Amino acid sequence: MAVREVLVYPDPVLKEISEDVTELNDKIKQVIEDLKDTMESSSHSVGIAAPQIGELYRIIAIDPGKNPKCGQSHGRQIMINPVILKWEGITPFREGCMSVPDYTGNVNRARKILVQYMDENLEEKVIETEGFEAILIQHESDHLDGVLFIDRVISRRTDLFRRKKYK
Amino acid sequence: MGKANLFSLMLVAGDRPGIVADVTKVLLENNFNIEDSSSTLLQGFFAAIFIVSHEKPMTECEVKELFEGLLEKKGVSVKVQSMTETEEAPAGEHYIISVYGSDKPGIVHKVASFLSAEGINIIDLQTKVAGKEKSPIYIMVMEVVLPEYFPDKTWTDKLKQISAELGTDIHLRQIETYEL
Repeated sequence: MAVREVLVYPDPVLKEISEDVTELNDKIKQVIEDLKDTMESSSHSVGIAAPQIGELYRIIAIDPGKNPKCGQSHGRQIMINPVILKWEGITPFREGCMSVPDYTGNVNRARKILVQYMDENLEEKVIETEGFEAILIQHESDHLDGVLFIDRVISRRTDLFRRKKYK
Repeated sequence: MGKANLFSLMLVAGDRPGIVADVTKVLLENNFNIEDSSSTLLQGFFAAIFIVSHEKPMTECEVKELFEGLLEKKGVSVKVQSMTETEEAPAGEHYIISVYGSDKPGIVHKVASFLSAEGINIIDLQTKVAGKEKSPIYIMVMEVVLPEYFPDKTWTDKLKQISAELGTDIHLRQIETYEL
């Protein structure tokens, strides 16, 4: 159990694609504990993905309830090999990330998602979630594919408002 | 930041490909660093503001001289100002305010004066005339930051009232930023 250093871009590990988890061995258990400890050690951290602590496995830890405006959520949990099966609606959201300090940007995320994953006992689960928790899962899952929110920014400040010419 | 020797460069040029490349060539060759910048196309003019830094102290004239060639050959006007660093704005709640309606004088000023009197800071502002030529509509989108511990909870109602007096429509949306 250890609080790990959170990698900061331009660390190349953050752009790598993580591996699927196939068995619950000591290494994976260690990564899960370290993710929980690292998330807890930072008072404002509501989520972290394994690549952020330098471990290229498809594991994320989330704790959406830490955000007072979160509303309903499934609570603190570990998600292994998460896959978003279905999404609907678009919601703009201004995101920041521990791995990209001092920068925020507007990102479009799905408002509601259906996500399949394994819990920390490798039991298969499927949940439907929306709002803050759904956005959080999308942000953390992106890390498993080497995608940072900067890749998805639509505009730095206000949403784009451009005059188009129609014929 | 804490950078010394900061300058602002403001440039406007009739739009064409290559303006940014031309200006940044001068900056790069003279060892300037771009600290921050914002550029956009305004009514067919490309308008840009760069905040740049240099290792060595320089005068405004010395910096301006570097761009003389651009003005003569390519019609890019550049204004240079030496800057002293200011305090970062305090972190309060952010709102996006959209005000739109038929084009008439005073929309920006009335809204901005109200915000100023309330001590609300505008950190981004874009305006556009859109719609058909015969019935133009004016669109203003701004991002504002409230002071911390802002006491006046009725500011949104007051702003809606001002918008109603102007005959415009208004939409306010709080922007929440989360580190995920």
